[in-house]
Amino acid sequence: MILPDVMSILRAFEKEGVEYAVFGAVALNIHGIGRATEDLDVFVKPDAANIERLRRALSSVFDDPHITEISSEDLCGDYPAVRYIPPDGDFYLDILTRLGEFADFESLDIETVQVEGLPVRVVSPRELYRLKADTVRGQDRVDAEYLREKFNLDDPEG
Amino acid sequence: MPVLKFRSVEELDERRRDLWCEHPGTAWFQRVTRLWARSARLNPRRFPPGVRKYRSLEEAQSERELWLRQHVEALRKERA
Repeated sequence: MILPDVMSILRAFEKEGVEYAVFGAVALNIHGIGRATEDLDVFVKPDAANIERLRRALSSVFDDPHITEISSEDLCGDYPAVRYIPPDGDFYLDILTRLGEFADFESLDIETVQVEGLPVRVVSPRELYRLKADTVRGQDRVDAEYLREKFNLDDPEG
Repeated sequence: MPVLKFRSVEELDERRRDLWCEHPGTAWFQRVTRLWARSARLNPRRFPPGVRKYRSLEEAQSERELWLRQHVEALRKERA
């Protein structure tokens, strides 16, 4: 995955008015901790109109009939995680509406950060720490430690 | 950039702060662009195009780890 791919998607989100928040490794980079990654993780507001805007945004970037398979019935129902892999197949987009009982879109602490002149909605460092700290994946624990150190999150719950 | 010398990997790792950016701006994102482009050249990946649905993030991560194992295995065979 390369940064222009991500920026194309985020520009389309902005243009279509998608309510979203970037998290995961891309958020880590936006907050000043560099790390290569193969996916863009986004939380989206779980309502039908927003999912329609999301589909429109993705369709403006990728000529791909599969995008119609991204549905609000799934994202607001039994499948809160949907992975979209564009036709080139060299990266993917993980779209989430909730993370178990742990987090949902409405509860997230979101900041707007300027990236190459574009206002990008991204979870705050503290929120990113919270999302990564308790996962079992080794890379997430390393990321969480870096966030704790960079942002002095000695009291992450505070 | 000057040459930096370390007595151990641990000592090197302690300097990771030097690689972070306090106020990410244009220069930082150009650096991120180069980092990701280098990573994509060194380790190109291909994923099966389309839409996949998961009941949880854990389920999604589990498939990601499966793809990674398959990728590593394919690389091993290719380079054997």
